[in-house]
Amino acid sequence: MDDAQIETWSEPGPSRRMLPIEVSLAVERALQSLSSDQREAVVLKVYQGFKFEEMAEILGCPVSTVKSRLYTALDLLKGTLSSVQVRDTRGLQ
Amino acid sequence: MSCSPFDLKDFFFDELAPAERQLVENHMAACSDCRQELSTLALTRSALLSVADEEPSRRIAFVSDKVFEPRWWQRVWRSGPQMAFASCCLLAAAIVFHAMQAPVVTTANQLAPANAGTVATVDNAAVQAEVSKQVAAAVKLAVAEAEDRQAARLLGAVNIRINELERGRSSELLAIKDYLERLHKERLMVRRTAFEPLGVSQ
Repeated sequence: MDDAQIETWSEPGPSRRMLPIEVSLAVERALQSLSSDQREAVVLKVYQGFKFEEMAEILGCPVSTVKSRLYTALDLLKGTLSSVQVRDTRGLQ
Repeated sequence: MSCSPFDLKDFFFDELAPAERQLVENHMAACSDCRQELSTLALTRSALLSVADEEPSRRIAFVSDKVFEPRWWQRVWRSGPQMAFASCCLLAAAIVFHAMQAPVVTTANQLAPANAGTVATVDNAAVQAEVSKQVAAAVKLAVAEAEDRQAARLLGAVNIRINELERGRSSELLAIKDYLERLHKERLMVRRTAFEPLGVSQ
């Protein structure tokens, strides 16, 4: 992923660039809209960087279940965070 | 819906084998939809990670995952007020227990200081008997002293009364004596006066 893609991912037309606190609140709201199982999957994968096998061991469920929860959560987050512009993500990947 | 030979999300999270990954990359070179899908995934993850610097573990503390729950000893160690309360309770219990045990030792020390080394083995009944004996002796002595003082006060009061009575009686006797003497003189005078004309001398 490059920064050019991030800059162009926003609502169509001219839009105001969101403040960091606004991004933070939007992400927090998006995470709160998920179920607890989905949040667990997102946290373990996105924030903690675990592999699917490790997540399955931690959560005590099959890998397929873990993947299903994560991917469903990502689809929901894509819709919720579609208006969020992230200006600089270098170093966060 | 993706047209990729493998799941794009698996590709995105680097969960594919090298050969599978190569196939997806080849497909993406010719598929703009899959590139757009991958771009959207990347932006979503970027948005999530944009708050990663703000203490993500606390931000996601609502996650009901056993992984993030503190161990029992961590919960105990972090609960300052509860620890303080438990310590106070233990201290109070220790004080009460010591207070319930202390009187025997204290009494034994007071009664038999020479045997302080073996005071812990002093029989409670023997100590109580010794205490009762000494208390009885002290009470007996105090009663005797009080009786002596009462008797001395009574004797003094009786002597004073006797002296007063004797003084009163003496004055009465003296008055009677004076009266009798005066009466005797008067009778002599009367008799002399009565017999003088007759020439009778007394």
